[in-house]
Amino acid sequence: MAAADSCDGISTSGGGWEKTVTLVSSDDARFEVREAAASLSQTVRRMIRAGGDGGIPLPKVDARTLSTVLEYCNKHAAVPAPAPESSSAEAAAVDLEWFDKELMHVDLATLCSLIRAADYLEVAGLLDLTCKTVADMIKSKTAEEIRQMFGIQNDFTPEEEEQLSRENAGVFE
Amino acid sequence: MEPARDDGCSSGLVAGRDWSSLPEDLLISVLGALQVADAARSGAVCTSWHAAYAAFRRLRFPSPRQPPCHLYASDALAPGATALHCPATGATLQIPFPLVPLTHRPFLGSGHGWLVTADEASDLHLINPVTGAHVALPPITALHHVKAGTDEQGDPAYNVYQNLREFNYIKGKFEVNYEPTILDIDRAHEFMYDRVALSASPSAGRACVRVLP
Repeated sequence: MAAADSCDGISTSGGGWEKTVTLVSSDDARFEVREAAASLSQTVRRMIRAGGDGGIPLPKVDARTLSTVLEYCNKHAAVPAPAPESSSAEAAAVDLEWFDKELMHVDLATLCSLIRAADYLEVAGLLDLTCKTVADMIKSKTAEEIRQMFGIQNDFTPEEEEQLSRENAGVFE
Repeated sequence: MEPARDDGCSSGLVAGRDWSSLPEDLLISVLGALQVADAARSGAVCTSWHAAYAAFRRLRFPSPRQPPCHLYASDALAPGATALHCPATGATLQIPFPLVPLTHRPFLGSGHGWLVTADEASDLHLINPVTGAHVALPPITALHHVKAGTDEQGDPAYNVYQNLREFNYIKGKFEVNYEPTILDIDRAHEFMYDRVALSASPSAGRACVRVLP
């Protein structure tokens, strides 16, 4: 309930009903989502404001990716505004952190789709989470290890490569 | 788990193509979550990541995860070694500086991730604190009006021929002063260089501009 207060969606008093919106993925899957959750996406929020019916089309996100994004939104929108320093707020934060960590246990192709989706949908928290996840994977790895992990082709010319290793002499140990 | 969809939709491409074609702003977001050494290594992965890394450096984006680092000479690591210490993480990265012990080196400018410093003969050097790369710039005597000479005691010094027009009070007119200004070789940089700026990254192999007083 508290989460719904933050946006246009209004829960009917005491009834537990919340306004929902329908999102349509690139492969025409329809997702009915609480507006409070969907509004974590700035892109969707703008589209809700713009109005229109028949669902909000999201042509750049497939169903599989969208369902993960919505899992994130549902969880994060459900967290009530924390009463500072209460033990329940602390527990909620720990729970959320745990949830985020679990959500990022995906294969690399999915993670890449998630980054793009978070960017397109402008879900700031998820974008931050996915970028940090990638950063953690890159951490302390050599360029070659990073290439292997992500399946990236080394497309430098031999000259460029030599230049880079000169430039990065101290970093590659 | 559903099987991966790699038919048709643009976001479900093979991982390889996917990661190297990640838009630059997203790569920059990832780089922003890394520390300098990791970000530099990422820049060597492929050309598109390198371009993102170059943009990241050029735009001087803040790295929230990169706390300020302290660059200093550390004999504790190795004699004459240079260390980049991150107080927040407690990590110390030893930077292999060729030639230059860092102690008593003036810093005259910076740009593109490089520092400009002068050595004991006031010749300029570019050093990259992250990678330890080092480039010696042409010596101070390459300036047209600076000659290696001696001072009144016969010690090595630089003679600077400024040939300024000065007012001669005896003759009551302007005259060119052909007498050189004599500078100690290790202090000459204070007089000769006010600030040094770089027009391009030295690793790009292009010219650098030095700004003189």
